[in-house]
Amino acid sequence: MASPMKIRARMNGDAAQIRILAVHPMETGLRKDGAGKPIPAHYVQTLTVDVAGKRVARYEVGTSVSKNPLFGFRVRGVKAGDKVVASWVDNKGDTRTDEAVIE
Amino acid sequence: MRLALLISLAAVTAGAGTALAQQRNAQPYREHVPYIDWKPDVTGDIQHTGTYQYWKDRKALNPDWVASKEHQWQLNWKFMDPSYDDTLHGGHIARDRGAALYKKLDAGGAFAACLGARNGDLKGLRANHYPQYSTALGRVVGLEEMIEHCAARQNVTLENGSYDNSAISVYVTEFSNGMPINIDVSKGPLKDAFERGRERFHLRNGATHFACATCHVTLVGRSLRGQVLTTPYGDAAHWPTYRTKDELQSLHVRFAECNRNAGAQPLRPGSPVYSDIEVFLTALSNGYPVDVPSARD
Ligand code: HEC
Repeated sequence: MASPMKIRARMNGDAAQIRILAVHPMETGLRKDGAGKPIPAHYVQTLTVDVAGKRVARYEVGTSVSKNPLFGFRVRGVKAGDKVVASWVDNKGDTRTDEAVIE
Repeated sequence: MRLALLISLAAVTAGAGTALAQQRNAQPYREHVPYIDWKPDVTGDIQHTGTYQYWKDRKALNPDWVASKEHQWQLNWKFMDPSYDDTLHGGHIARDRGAALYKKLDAGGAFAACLGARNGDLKGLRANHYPQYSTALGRVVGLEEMIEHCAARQNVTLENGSYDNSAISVYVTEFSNGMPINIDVSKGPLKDAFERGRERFHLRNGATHFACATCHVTLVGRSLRGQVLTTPYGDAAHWPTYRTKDELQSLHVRFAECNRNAGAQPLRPGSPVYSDIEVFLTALSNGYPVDVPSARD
């Protein structure tokens, strides 16, 4: 089972700063292991973020993104107490959804 | 003709070697020259680099300086500690991993007791009790060495310097967040370790013939390998740290990296020499609050 994302969402002025740290190997499929065998590709393809039930971000993620990637953005029109739901899907069909509340 | 060339080449290199050797002989090979009077307290930096005033309070760092390459070293990079910087990074992943491993190891409460926690309470353990003299091991040890030892008592291998070992160390250290480091190096085995560590810090060795102090005292404020050297005061308070090259490091692993970069033989994490240096550096953080999970370039 995939490890939980870490989500931090804080109001800063009239906008919320949202940060999402996903825990994922993000293998490109181009690397080889010690024995020379290719390591199969394994990477996040999309990440979506909803705040208070409304879609605020959708990321198209690929193999050029690092291991354990951090996503961050600011969003207006939200308030402290709103629920943030982040969800990713990877190329093996695995998914992970985590929640946090805007502070 | 070829042979002659080879011979003359050999002569040239041999000549260079002798010149180098002579230059080295001018200074004793492993000299020990203490550069300054070290005060076992973070305020000792006032007489050293004088930058302490700028990073004394992590929350009150000057944001213009944080953004300025020129001034960052004067802030001792404390803007990458969590009480200033609220971003997320691999240190937070490590902390969670440490928490899970700790919970498993401490299922019966023996792990916490072995580390020296009273009633399983980890608060202040890092700030007030490490490094310490361990009666079980008969020597001065840092927290990571103790984690290895206490895990081994349950037949779990958690090598000092490994990711999992440092992850547990971050977890345990976090309970001391905000508490000033407080180790007493005025007597007993810690005093001896402090003095050995101080001597080691000034001992030149390796291919470059550098001591730790060559870089960390003489060259403070100058740039080296793309980084500007900072004061060693207050450093021990944010370790283990997440290096942005994606590596969780304990203090000893950092020492090994510095040794390697300076062309000296790196030692094993947990080796007595590194523990002595850790005591020395931790004493230079006395009075400065612990803050993890931090990050560093
Ligand atoms: C060739 C120069 C050089 C030598 C010699 C050297 N270091 Fe370093 N060290 C650096 C540089 C550059 C940095 C990164 C900039 C900084 O934090 O000051 C660094 C960083 C460190 C840090 C991390 C500081 C922090 O706050 O994150 C520690 C601890 C450290 N060195 C200890 C040592 C010890 C102990 C020795 C001797 C065994 C040593 N160094 C020898 C160049 C050196």
